[in-house]
Amino acid sequence: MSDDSFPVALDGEEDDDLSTFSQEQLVLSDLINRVLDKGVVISSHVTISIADVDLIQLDLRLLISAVASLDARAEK
Amino acid sequence: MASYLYGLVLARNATRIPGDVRGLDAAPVRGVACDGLAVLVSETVERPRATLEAVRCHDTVLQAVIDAGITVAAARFGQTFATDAGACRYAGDQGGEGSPRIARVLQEFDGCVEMRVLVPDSITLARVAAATAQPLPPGQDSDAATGPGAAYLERLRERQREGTLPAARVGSIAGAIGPVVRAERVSPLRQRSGAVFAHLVERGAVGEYRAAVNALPALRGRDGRRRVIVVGPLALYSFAEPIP
Repeated sequence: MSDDSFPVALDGEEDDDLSTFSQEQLVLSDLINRVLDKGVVISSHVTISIADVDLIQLDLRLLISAVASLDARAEK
Repeated sequence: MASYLYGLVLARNATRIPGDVRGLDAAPVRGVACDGLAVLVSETVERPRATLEAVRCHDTVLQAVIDAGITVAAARFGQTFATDAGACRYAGDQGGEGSPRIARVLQEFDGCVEMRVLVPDSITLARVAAATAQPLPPGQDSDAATGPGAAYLERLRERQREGTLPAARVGSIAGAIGPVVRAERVSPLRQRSGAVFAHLVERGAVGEYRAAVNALPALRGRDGRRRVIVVGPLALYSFAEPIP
């Protein structure tokens, strides 16, 4: 299934075409990105922290992708 | 020990923060008043690494505050200060005399929460753009032979080939949802070709908001199935702008 045909249901509605894993992956990806990329920055020295976070964030994304790939292989 | 920052609330709301909220390393979360604001902090030994567990913990603390009925401006992950007073000093310094910037945001948005519509694919984005009649960017007039939806989709594909999503061009669904949306921010949905529509909504209007989103035909596929996820209510992540 390509990204463009990725079906997602509004919460509270059933959608048999979307696995629970895919929904959780999407929500988790949004969670990670909003916590790491959004929100108030009140300290200029945090710029250093953010640079560190960006590097680790990349690792997290890779981790999620890796988990998704493993899950897809397991289903085959 | 250091102080780790989760978010900021109006000082008058600090007393309503639940006493049983635990943060990183299971440390109790405190609301420390500083002028018109209060910072939400907990003690930590060092600046936390951005592990999945730590990211979830940061969000869980903010969610507990939201669940208690308090409007909170989320702090970006990773901000650690030597002392509570240090966090207060930075929070207060940013706004200038008399009317700190963050306090102004919280005053204006008190009683609001953030709702997020996750649109996971470019096809749905194109439908949204066509349905909400988004104007094309200057110099990119619509091709009448292909229609605005197809032209929009082609622009998305061009951008994806370039490796970026045109977040500023994906349009708006706020108008289609209605006046229940007080403000909107749009950003790319990372790792996918979709987008996130963040909406500022009065807490008491969340049900109306969900119903309005549910009723939007543009968020359904050709088969009538809905193709988005709604997340919230959340702390104000997208509407408490980072301070340069």
